[in-house]
Amino acid sequence: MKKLLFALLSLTLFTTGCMDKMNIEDVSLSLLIGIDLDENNNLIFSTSSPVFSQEAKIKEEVYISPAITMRESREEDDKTFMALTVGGKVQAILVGKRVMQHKGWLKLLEPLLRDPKNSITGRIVMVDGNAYDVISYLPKDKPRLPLYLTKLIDTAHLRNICTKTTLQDLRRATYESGITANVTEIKKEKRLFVTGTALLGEEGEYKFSLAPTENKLLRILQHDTKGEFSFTFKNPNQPVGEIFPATAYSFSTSGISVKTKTDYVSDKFKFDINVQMRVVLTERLFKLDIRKEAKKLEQEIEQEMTKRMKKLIHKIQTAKIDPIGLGIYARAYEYEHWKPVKERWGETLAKADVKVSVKVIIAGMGISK
Amino acid sequence: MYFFSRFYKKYPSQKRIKMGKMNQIHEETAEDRLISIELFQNIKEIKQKFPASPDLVIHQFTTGLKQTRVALVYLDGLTDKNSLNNNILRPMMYDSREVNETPLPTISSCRTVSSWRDVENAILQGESVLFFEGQVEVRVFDTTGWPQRSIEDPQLESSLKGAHQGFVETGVQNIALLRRYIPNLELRIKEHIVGRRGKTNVWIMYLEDIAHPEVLKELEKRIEQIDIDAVINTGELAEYIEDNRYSPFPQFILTERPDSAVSQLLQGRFVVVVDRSPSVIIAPATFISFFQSVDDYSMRWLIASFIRLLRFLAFMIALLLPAVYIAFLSFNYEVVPLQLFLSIAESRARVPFPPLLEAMMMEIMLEMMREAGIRLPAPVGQTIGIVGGIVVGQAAVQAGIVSNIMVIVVASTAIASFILPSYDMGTAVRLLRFPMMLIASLFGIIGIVIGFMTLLAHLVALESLGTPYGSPLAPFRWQDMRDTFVRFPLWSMFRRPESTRAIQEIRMGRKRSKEKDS
Repeated sequence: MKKLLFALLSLTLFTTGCMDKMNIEDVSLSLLIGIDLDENNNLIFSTSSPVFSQEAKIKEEVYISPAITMRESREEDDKTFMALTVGGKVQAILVGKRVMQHKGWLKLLEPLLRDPKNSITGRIVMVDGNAYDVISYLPKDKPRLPLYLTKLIDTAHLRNICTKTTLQDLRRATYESGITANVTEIKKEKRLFVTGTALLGEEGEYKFSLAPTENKLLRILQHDTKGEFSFTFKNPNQPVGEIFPATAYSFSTSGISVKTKTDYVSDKFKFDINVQMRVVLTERLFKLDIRKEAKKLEQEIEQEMTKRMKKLIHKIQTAKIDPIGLGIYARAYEYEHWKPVKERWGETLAKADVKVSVKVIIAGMGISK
Repeated sequence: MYFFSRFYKKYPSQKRIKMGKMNQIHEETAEDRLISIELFQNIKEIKQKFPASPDLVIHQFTTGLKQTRVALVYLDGLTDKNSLNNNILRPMMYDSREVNETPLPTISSCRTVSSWRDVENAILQGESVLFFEGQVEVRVFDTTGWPQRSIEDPQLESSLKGAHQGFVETGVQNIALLRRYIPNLELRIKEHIVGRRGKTNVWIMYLEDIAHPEVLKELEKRIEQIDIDAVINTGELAEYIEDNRYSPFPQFILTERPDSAVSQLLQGRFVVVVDRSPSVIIAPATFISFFQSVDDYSMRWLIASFIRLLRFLAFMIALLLPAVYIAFLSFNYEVVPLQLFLSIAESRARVPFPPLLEAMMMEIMLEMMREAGIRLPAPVGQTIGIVGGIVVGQAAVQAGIVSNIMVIVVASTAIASFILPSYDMGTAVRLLRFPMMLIASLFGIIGIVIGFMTLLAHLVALESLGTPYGSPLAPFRWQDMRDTFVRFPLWSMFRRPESTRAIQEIRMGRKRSKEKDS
């Protein structure tokens, strides 16, 4: 009995609990963080955090403040926000295009990586325009913005309209010299749009954007064939309709296998990317007996696809970046040759010989003839 | 430490002496004096010994041709009037008029005693005593018959497919219930008498060729060491003989089901039947045995296994869910998915109390409802359910005292804690929930881990009659795992569990399992 009493006594005397105790209602979650540059190149941070009180009419707190760093901006937020601002559940980090155009903006995300209480699964999004415009957007026909935005990006990613890059992915892509980063790109006009994917350079600087159709190709080249890949092509061999696009047809893929072969021939890297696709026809506006003439259509798709991929690769090579991650292949298979060019992989890839060949099999034509 | 010594203060010495005196008097009455030859002397003595006993009946009459004067003494209410009238009084008063010799009552259990102590005991136990004029020996007839309950369905442990006979308050009947299952000479019964005043019969039942003699020795030693006034209930006896007095866990299974007691006997355990108590002790117990129920063995093994796993899940929920809730809300909000977080936070926003207080309040409310439900008679008991459901469920949330999620947490904990087949284990879990909640509010998830590890350490160290309580998990016994988390098919359990230290290992002809092998 004495022992038990001692144990209880010591528990109550010597333990006061952890210092970092923070009840859920004392927390103001920064769900969205925006980073912008004003005209004089001063950093502007913006934060959106939910308000849980039933009395509040608007359930979102938004504050836009100039600050030197992200951590300092938290102090600014605490000056006005109801509860204590924390970053444990950051859903998306919106970065303005003007910020991304400068090298080294990644440093601004440092506090998110350093403090383990912060989340690293927040999505990195480039805003074509000002990030604070997006953050202060209060759509009436949608749930609260952070939920809407994350859902929008996640579902768009499933259809491969954009990539989904979390902070962790971005960190990997920047530390990894064999690949460059790509992030989701959104735009706010009257409403919010996912416009595609922004490709970043070796030091995080913005290079150029990919439209959804190109993004799908990029994803295939990256061997990332999850989700749905839907394409709408125009058949050049068919007569053009007057008003309606009689030459158009659509298909989605039911299985893609990609193989990348690496070689080093005559002082040049050589990559052979073989794509095999099983496609299912989802739409066709012209007449064609697929049972007999499937081969024809398959060839057309192959040609069109190869053409588009080559165009994409050319664009990438001119920009001297490597969002596909061919550098990782180079390192794995041709380490000897990769090692000296490691630091300037983008330029090396620009000179490299990248070949793409696509093989298409029409696996299904739907339930109508 | 002076402050605390006040709590430890011994009884004042005067009181002690008084109690000692009482014991001495008690001993004196039980002194071994012999019966007098004179009948009137004996009757006088009896009346002296039983002062203020209106239920004492002294019936004097003459018997036989010689008109011998006799006196029949018994306690009204403790005796069976039928057998008294028909089997003792009738032959002695009427049928014996023409017979020369001393007439014999037609009753099978009859003995002769000659000391006052035996006479007293016999009367107090409900036997009737016959004094003869001119004899120093008295006849004692077993005419016991006190108010009894008929055998009913066990109330506390109902089962779907098990037998519907439960133990009753009469020890010999309980023994009979068990004997019915095992008509075997190896079923041994050892009798002990516990309690100076109560003189409760305690029977240890076991199978001689299965149960380990060392465990029996330990059990007998502990029962013999009890020196108290009276044992009223099986639970009391269990508390006197258990291994760890401070453990929250029950160290013996208390059951009112003969079928589960028999199944434990066959596994090599001991059953202690306590007279006047409708439940028996099963020893040694293991932690896992509190999760087994008779129904497990009469259902298909897949279903039984599923239900068994459900019980372990329920154990974890009942123990940890409120603590996890507190930890998540006070420390580790990062692990809650955003959507859930938002809905928790929205309902928490109205609540003016910190999570610990909120949870404590609700859990205590629930415990009060449960306790109130037990004490109230059945028709009123339902009211508690309705009132509690409305107050705790609906109104508390609407008034903004607790959050919606908390109500769900409390409700699931309550349901989970009632799934456990053993009531004792259920109460243990319900109690342990509170320290868990406290430590979670101090240290978050780390606190829960610390609390749980401490609990595991305690479970591993605990023993029941010197047999490890954590078996078959700690010490790990591969053989016994067949009846632990998953109930393997019965034909595969051809060995008795090692956890009981049974000396006869195999309990099944292996013909069928061998056929399966080949």
